[in-house]
Amino acid sequence: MKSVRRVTQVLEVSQAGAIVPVDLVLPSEAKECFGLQAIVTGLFPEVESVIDFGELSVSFNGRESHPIHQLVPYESAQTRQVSTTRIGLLPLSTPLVSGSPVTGFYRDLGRQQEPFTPYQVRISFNLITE
Amino acid sequence: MKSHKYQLIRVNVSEPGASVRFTGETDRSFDRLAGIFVAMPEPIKEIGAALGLKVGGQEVFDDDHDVRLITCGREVAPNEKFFAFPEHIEAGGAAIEGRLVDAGNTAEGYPYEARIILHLTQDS
Repeated sequence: MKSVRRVTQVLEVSQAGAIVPVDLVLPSEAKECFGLQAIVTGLFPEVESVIDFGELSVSFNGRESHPIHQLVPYESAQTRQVSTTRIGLLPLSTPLVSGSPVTGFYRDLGRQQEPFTPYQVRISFNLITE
Repeated sequence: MKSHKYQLIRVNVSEPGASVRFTGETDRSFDRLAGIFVAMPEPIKEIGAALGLKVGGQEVFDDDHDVRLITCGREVAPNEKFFAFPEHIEAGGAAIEGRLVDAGNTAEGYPYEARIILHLTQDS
C-alpha cells in the first residue's frame, strides 16, 4: 500500500436518542476507503460494556455506496483493563469519487441512565491516497 | 532477513487536559516505521485521549486520532500489542512531531508518563 491518510470525524452527542448527522468531504486525493472504526469517547460509570451503545450508518459517493450500517459498542475502563484484544478496523474496499460527500448518521441508543452525560464519537476513516 | 528495533518516546503529562507536543527522530539505522504502540498508565486515561503524529513531515495520524486505536488491553500478548502500518513510512532519521492530548477524565494520577513505542525495521 503506497500512501495512506487517516481522517477523524468527531461527532458531539448531546442528548439521549440523538441522531447526529455525518457529513464531510474526504481529501480529494483519497482513492479508496479501506477501513473505518467508530469509538465512543466518554465515561459512564453506571454503564457496563455493551455492544449496542449507538448505531452508525455511513454512505460514500453521494449515497451511491452504503457499506456501513452497524452498531457502535462502548467498552468501559474496567473491561479495557482485562481485554485480550486490540481495536482493529472494519475492513472496507470502497472506491471514492474525488470530492463527493460522505453522509450518514450516528444514533444514540439510550444505554445511559439519567442524567445523560454528553459524549463524542470519533470516526476514523482510513484512506488510500495517490 | 529483517532487522527490528523498538524505539521508546516518553511524553510527560503534567495535568488533566494537557496538550503536550513532543519531537524526536527515528533511529537512522532503520528505514521503515512498521508499527506503533502507546502505553498509558491506566485504562481510564486512554478514554478520550488523542494522539497526532507526523513522521518526516508526513501526517500519520491527525490530531483527533483516538489513542485507543493504538493502545490495547493489558492482557494482549507483547508481540500483538502493536498497530501495524499497512503503508510504507520512511524512517531512517526522520523527524517525529506529535501531540498527545490528555482527556482529563480524573483529577488523580498526575503527572504521568505516556510511552510511545515505535517498531522500526530494516531489510538487510
